[in-house]
Formats: sequence, C-alpha cells, structure tokens
Amino acid sequence: MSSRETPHPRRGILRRRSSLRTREARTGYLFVLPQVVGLVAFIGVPLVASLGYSFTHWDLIAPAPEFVGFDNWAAMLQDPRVPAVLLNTGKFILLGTTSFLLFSLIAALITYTPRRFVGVYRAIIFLPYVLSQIAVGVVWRWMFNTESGPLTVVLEAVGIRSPDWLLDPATAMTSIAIMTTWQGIGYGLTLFVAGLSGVPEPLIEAARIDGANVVQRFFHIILPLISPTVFFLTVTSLIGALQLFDPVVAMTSSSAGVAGAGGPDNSTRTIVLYMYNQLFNLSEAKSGLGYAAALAWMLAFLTFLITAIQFAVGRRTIYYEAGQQSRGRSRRRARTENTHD
Amino acid sequence: MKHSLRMASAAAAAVAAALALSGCGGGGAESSSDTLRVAVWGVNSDIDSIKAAAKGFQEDNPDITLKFETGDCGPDYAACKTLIAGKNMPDVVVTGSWNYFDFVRDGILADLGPALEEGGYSTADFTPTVIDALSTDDGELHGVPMGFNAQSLFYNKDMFAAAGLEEPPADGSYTYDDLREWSALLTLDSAGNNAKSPSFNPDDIVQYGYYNRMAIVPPGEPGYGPVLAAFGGQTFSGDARNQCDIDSDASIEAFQYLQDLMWKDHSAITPQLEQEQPGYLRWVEGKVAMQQGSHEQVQIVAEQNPDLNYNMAALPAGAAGNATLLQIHVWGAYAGSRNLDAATKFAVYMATEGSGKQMGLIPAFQDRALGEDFAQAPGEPSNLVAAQIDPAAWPLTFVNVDPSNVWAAASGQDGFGPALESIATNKSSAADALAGICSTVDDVLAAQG
Amino acid sequence: MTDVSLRRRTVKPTRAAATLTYHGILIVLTALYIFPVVWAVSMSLRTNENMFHADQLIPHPITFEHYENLFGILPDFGRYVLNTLVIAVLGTVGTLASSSLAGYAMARFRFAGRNVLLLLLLLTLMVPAQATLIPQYVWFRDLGWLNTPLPIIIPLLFGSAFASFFFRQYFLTLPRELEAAASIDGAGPWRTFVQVIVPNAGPAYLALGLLTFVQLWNSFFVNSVYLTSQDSWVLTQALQSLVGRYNSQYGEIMAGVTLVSLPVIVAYLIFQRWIVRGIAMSGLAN
Repeated sequence: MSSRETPHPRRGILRRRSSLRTREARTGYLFVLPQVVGLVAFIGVPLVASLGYSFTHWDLIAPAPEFVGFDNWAAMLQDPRVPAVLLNTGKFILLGTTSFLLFSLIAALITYTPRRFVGVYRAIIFLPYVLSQIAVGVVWRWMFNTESGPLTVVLEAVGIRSPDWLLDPATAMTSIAIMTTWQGIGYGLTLFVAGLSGVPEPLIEAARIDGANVVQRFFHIILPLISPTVFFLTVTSLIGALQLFDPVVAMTSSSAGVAGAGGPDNSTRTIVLYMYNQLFNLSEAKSGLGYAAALAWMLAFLTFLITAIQFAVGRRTIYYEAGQQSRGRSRRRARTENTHD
Repeated sequence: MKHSLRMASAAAAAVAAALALSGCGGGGAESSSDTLRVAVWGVNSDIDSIKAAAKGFQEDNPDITLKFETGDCGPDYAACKTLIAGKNMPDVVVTGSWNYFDFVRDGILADLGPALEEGGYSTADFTPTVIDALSTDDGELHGVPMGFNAQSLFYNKDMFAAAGLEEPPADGSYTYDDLREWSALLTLDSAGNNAKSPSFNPDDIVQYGYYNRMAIVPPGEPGYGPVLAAFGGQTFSGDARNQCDIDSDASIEAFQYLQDLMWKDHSAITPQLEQEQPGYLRWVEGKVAMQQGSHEQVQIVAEQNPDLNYNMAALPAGAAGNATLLQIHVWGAYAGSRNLDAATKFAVYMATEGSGKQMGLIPAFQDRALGEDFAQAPGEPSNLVAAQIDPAAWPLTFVNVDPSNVWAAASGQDGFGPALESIATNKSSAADALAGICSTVDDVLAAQG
Repeated sequence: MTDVSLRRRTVKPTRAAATLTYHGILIVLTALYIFPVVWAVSMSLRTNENMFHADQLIPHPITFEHYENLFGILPDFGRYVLNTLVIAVLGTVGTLASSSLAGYAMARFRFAGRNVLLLLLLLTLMVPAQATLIPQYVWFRDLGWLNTPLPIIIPLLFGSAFASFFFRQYFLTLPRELEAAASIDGAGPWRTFVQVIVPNAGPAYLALGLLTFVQLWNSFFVNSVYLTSQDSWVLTQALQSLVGRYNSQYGEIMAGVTLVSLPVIVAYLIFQRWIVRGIAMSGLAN
C-alpha cells in the first residue's frame, strides 16, 4: 500500500483548492488576453517607440529617421512657444474645466429629483454632447460674431459692451471654453445625476429636521457622498483639457487650414495643436516627427503628474462609504474600519 | 472549449468582414504602369473643368488611364506630406504659387524642362511674370502654370450711378486716394447719408463702400498685397525675397490706409462684419459697392445673383504706381512617381494644349487668354482684358511666391500674422503693430535651418 | 379631520406655484441652451438671402434646396455613411466584446497581476492619443493599411481601457449568486459568462455601446490621419471638406451638420434611460 493509494485527506483538499485556483487564474488570463494584447501592442509598444523617435529627426519623406540624441529635448526646453502653449491650456483649464464641473453639478442638482418631464430636460441638455466638433464649431463661429450673434445681442441688451470673442486674444480662449462647456454639461450632468441618485433621501430629511439649511445640507451631506463622482469627472475632464484640439481647429482655423489655427495672436494654440504643427511643418530646423514625439511625451508626463497629484489629494478627501464596492485600498480601509467597531 | 472556438471564428469573421469592406473602400496604393493618378481640388465645377481639359490628353494617349482624386493635397502641403509618408502620393499634383517652393525645396516635384522641350515648347510660350515666378535660381522649372488669377476691382454699377459717380477707369488710371473718396461716398446709412456727411451714423450702415480680404481673420489670403505694392512697400525684398521689408515706411502707410478705411472712414468691411457674413457675399448680394477680388467672383455672381449690374477695373495706382497680385495654380509631377514620363507629359499638356478653362483661371499659354477660353467667353464683363490680363505686365505686379520658402512661416501665427490681425481689428495702429516686427520675422527665417 | 383638510387645501396652491415656476424656468433654460442646435437646423432650411437674418428663427420661406445641393456636392454621401457605419459598428462591437471579457475577469477571477493590470489600465487613460499615434501610423503604413478603416478598428477589437474599467465596476455590482446557480448546473466559466452574465448586464452594454458608437461616429482627428483618399472618408471628413471648399455655402454646411447628427440624436433619444441606468449601476459614479 503506497501513500498514493491511501487518500490523504488534507492534501486532497489542498490539491483541489489549488487546482481550482489555477483553473480560475487560467480562465482569468484567457479572458483578459485580448485587452492585454491591445495594451501592449497599441499602447505600450508605440509609447516606447515614440520615446525612441524623440531622439531622432525625421520628416517622413526620407527613408529612415536620423539619430540626433537629445537635440529635440534641448530644443524643447529652450522653445519659448512651449510655455506659451502650456499657458493657453492652463487658461482653458481654469475657465473651461471648472465651469464644466460647476454647471454640470448645478444642472444635476436641479434635475435629479424625480419629477415629470425631468428626463426630457436632461435629454435636451445632453443633446449637444452627441454632435460632432466640426458641426459645433461652425455654428458657434457664427454665434460668436459681434454684429448679430446672439451672445452679443444679449450683452448689448443689458448695456454691456460685447467683447470681440474670437477676434480678441484676450477672449478667444474664453469663447472656446464657453463652447466646450456647453457641449459637455450633458455628460457631466448624467454622471452627477447617477451619483446623486445614490444619496439616500432619509439622510437629507434627517438633516433638514435637525435644522440644517440648503447650503449646509449640500456641503456636509451631498458633496461628500458624491465625492467619488466629482473625483472621476475632475480627473477625466482634466485629461481631456490637456489634449484640447478639435474645438480649437473647428473655431480658429483659417483658409490655410489647421496650420492657421491657434487663434488671434496664438492665444488658443494648445499643446496638441503645436505638436500637430511641428509634425508637418518642416520650415524649422528642429521640427518634424522627432520633435512632435518629444512634445507628446512631455504631454504624457504632464498628464501623469497632474493625475497623480489628484489621486494623492483624493485619497484624503474622498469619502468611500464602508461596505461600498470600491477600489482596493479603500475597500481594505473600509474593512478595517468595520472590524474596529 | 467549443465556445471559445466559436468566439474565435466569430472574431475572425469580423476581421474578414472589415478587410473585405475596406477592400471596397480603399484608395489606390500604387499606380500600375497604365494608370496616372492626378490629385485635384476645388469646387465641383473646378474639377469638372480640369477633367474636360484632360480629355484631349486621354484621346492622344489611349493607353494611359487617368484617375482623378479629390483631396487637400496640392493647396495644402501637409496633406501631400502625409501621402508621401504613406507611400501613397499621386503622380500628378496641382500646387499653388503660395506653397510651390515648399514642394521644390523638398525635391517633391520633377524637373519639367526636358518634357517641355520634348513637346516643342519653351518658357517663351508663357506669360513672362508667371513663368519667371516658377523658375528656380538655377533656371530649372519644376512646375508649369495651369493658369493664374489677378486681383481686380469689382464694382457695382448701380451704386456708382446712384451716387452720381463716374465708374473707375478700366485701365487703372486712378489712385487709392480716389478709391478712398468713392468708398466714403458710397457708404450709406439708413437715412441715406454717406460717410462724408456730418449726420452720418456709423452704427446704422446699410451699404458699405469697399471690401478687402485683409478683413479675414485669421489671415489667409494676402488681400493687402496689391495695396502694399502700389504704395511702394513689400513683405519681402531682395533678390532671394527673404529680407523682411514689412516695416518699411511705405508698407506701414499701406496698412494704415486699409485700417483707416475700416475704422476711421467706416466705409470698409471690418473683421467683425466679416464674421457675421463674408464680405464678398455681401458684395455679391449688392450690399457693398467695391471689392478687390479675382476672377472667381464672376462665377459666384453668375451662380448666386445673375441680376447684379457690375463690372471690373484694374486696380488703382499708389505712390509707386499700379500693382496687382497674381496667384498661380501649378501643374507638377511627383518626382517619385513610377510613371514619371507619363506624369511629366500630362503636366506639360495641361499647361499648353489643354490650357484654357481650367479652374476659371487666366491661361498663361501664348495668347489663349485673349481668346474664347477666357476673354471672349460668354458672360464675361466687358472690361475683362483691361482688368485682369493687362495688369499681369505691370512692373510692380508680383506673384505670391517666395523662392526662399518663407511665406508660410513668416506670414503665419509665429511671424507677422498677429500684427496684421491687430491692425485689422483696430487694436493698434499700423506703425505700432509693425514696429520691430522684422526681428520676429528674422527669427523665424533663422529657424529655417 | 377638518384641520388636516384645511391644511392640505392651503398647501396645494403654493406647491402648484412652485412646480409651475420650476418648469417655467427649466423650459426657458433648456430652450436657450438648445438654441445653437435649433439655429443650425434653421440655417439649413433658409434661402440664401435670409441666411444671416438674425430676426427669424423659423425661416419663411422654408426651402429644402440645400439638402438637394448637398448630395450634388457630395455625390458619394452614401459611401461616406457606409464607411462611418463600418467603423462605428465594428469598433463598438469589438470594444464591447473584449472589454466586457476583461472587465469580468478583473471583477470575478483571482489571478496574479490582477491589480497590476487594473492600475495599468487606469494609467493608459492618461496617455494622450497623440503620444502613440506616430509609431502606430508608421506601423500601419508599413502594413499597407492606410486608407482603410483597419487602423481604427483593429485596436478597438482588443478592447479599450475605459470600457474595461467600466465593465469591471459594473460586474462588481452583480450578485455572486448568479454564477453560483450556473456552476451548480456544471457550466464552465465561458458558458456562465455568455448565458448568465451578459443577459444581466444589458444596461451596461447599452450605455457603453452607445457612448462608444457616438464617439466613433463623431471622431475626426484619427480618421483624418489614416483616411486620406476621398473614397475612404467618413462623414465628419466630408463635412469638414465642405467647410474648406464651399465655405460660403452655409445652407449646405448646416444641412450636412443636421444629417450627420440625426442618427446619433435619434439613438440617444431612444436609449437615454438605459444609459443613465447603465452608468448609475456601474458604480462608476461611485
């Protein structure tokens, strides 16, 4: 009688559990295989290749790139246009992203309580989001004209002298921010409404009975409970703002096409637009594919940095209810909180 | 496991479907030896006119198949670069005088000298100003003219008559001061006061006097070009046309003149008005008395407002004389084409035998411009020859092309573009906007590398 | 008794007034908000003389000539619709398939590297498309895939980070009992997924499906890089070409805008409720 014939109870269970685990893991790997392949092939490899290109100079016409070491990076550090485009993007973030978040939240607060027709209002507000940038750009270009455009008419009706919108370097970026906010509120609204619907009504009632006014109810109850949504929208809209391109082209391109875009006095030239210019513009010694790749990597790095800062801040300020399904760290924290009780 | 097979085959079917469908839609990657890919652009009537002109070549060369492709490659050099990078560049391309030398510098266009000789032609067969503009310093010719357009003054006869003014002399024997005077007299408010009268209300204008494309912001076409030259100024000077001259006194005076017309006299279309409705459309609708425009306007009027009672005149003289701006559309053959022989042959044909009516331009070949293709075509204004063809020979007339290939960069957003914008929008005077601009432009030129 | 009824009678008018004011304000706000869209459609129906008259919203006379002319200017309009549909449909289906698989795996299966994968997916959200565009372009060029929709569709067949994350959040909210019932029947993971999980994830598929479809339908930048020959154009490119070549034909441009936007608007109106439900139930809001 060998030990193999006599079934050892614990070892059998262990073997079963571990083979279950292995099977589970194998299925898991199989299921994620397409996504992983996609990650590696279409993001990972090109990202590294892009970094490689940033050390070359290539106009896409010559048969192969030419290695130039750190030339592109040095040029980027000395390029006065880089801080200029960063500033433009920063201005957009200040105006556009903040107003997007603010107005989406306000719109959600107004329309999340179930009432008749509330779905219709939300549907109408969401409509601009499904329109293409080209279409929106053409319409808003006309809307911003200072002779008979609706915005001008309204302002002058209340006695304010209308700015020159897209013609004035001081207001061009603001105009673009107005347009993108208008288009995006529907999307933010949908997410906020979903988040607000998770706020338990009895909680608010209880607060009201306790004497909390509207403002207090908002800041002490509603806002913390929707803070994950706020966080998600802030992170994603900042990432989008850093990559602003389509609206700028739609609103400020000239008869020279994209090359003429960038607004009066370059006030709306964003990072991605500058990158696009450099990619196809060879009337400068440093430009071309290599410099464009360096700019792209700079943008990627900037995005990582800004998002990392947000995550660091978020860890302290976002409220995850104990027991809610949420991401790793927070779940662990919630569990430990529970055990402490 | 059966299911994963099913999933795999479903995925394969999807990819196959995509491939099949894309096979239906994809454009040609390379030309076979019998096909010539020709990149064209413009509105539909432009493209039709090119195809009509190419019929003759097709008949002479039945073994070659012409395949026309519409796109941005031609007027937009970046689009061509994308195609070249994608190894997808057509064999024949139509560039413009504004980017012709971009192509030449990068070696994109083949030398057409030999093909020209083979056909029995020489540079003497073309309008001198035009063919000179396309020749490189060492006398090579990398493109041949499809045709050119000249800027002229288009004016509304009824408005002149109503104001009791004589029409502008067709040969250009009047000055920019005259034009300014007329423009003011032809600008009317709703009460019928013209811009010179003391009770004129600039907030209530119903008819404008003048439109120049300087009002288009961001700057595209150099509507200020002819005005600049007539005043004795230039954007660039020197043999190689790479010396910034836009801050010279004459240049500043020209820009100030245009600004004054818009913002002091209130008689010209401003950028704000342009944004509401393009100036040339206003002229076509009969709301503006005069516009500086090219022959394209004739077609637009015929399509949109055939009842308009108008005519043309050559552009006026400034302190330095009469000047106008020519823009050339250029037939070129892609130097890397597999069908280089056929391509060069075709390009030369379209500029010689086939020239005449293409894209509504003035043919530059021999004296076709005076014949039925252009001057004597039906429906043309009576002053056509004096307004469009004769000015090509003026000494100050120039072509919007710069051998040193600086135009795009220097006139763009990094060069003097913003300065022109602030002049057009009245943010600063011409002198202030252009002060020191040449150091900026020189920086751009230096970065050419 | 009398007290209560008295109270109710006095409360009603105030509540009615409040509701009326609420709806009144909202109607005005949404009407103003949607004004640009209405204006675009209005421009497509105006005659050229009336095009820029700011005083009329509904044009009189109404004309459909611009829609007719549009098909004259763009005779291949049908082909552009087909090209756009191919990309939008195949891209959406591919994304949904691969990403839901990945999301499910990350929500339900334990395997080494699961959290690392999640982190990586989130990181990729921060990578700007432009950073990976250039090498992808060179690669697709060498494969000969330019001027085909393949460079756009193929990467989507392998999933999108956002979609995978979305599905993960959603599947986390599904009760484990669903799988328990299926495994008792002896079903393997694949059969469980297809026959049990997917049918229960309707709102998520709908929500993400529609958002992806809309995004693909409207995308311009990536398409303009890969689809240069006019045969392979999508609708947004055709529209943009109008603005470039026929920039004076506002009526035709707006007609194009209206036609291109119509399908997505209709799709949104039909599926609106499910979208909100899908997003809410995904716990993404949390």
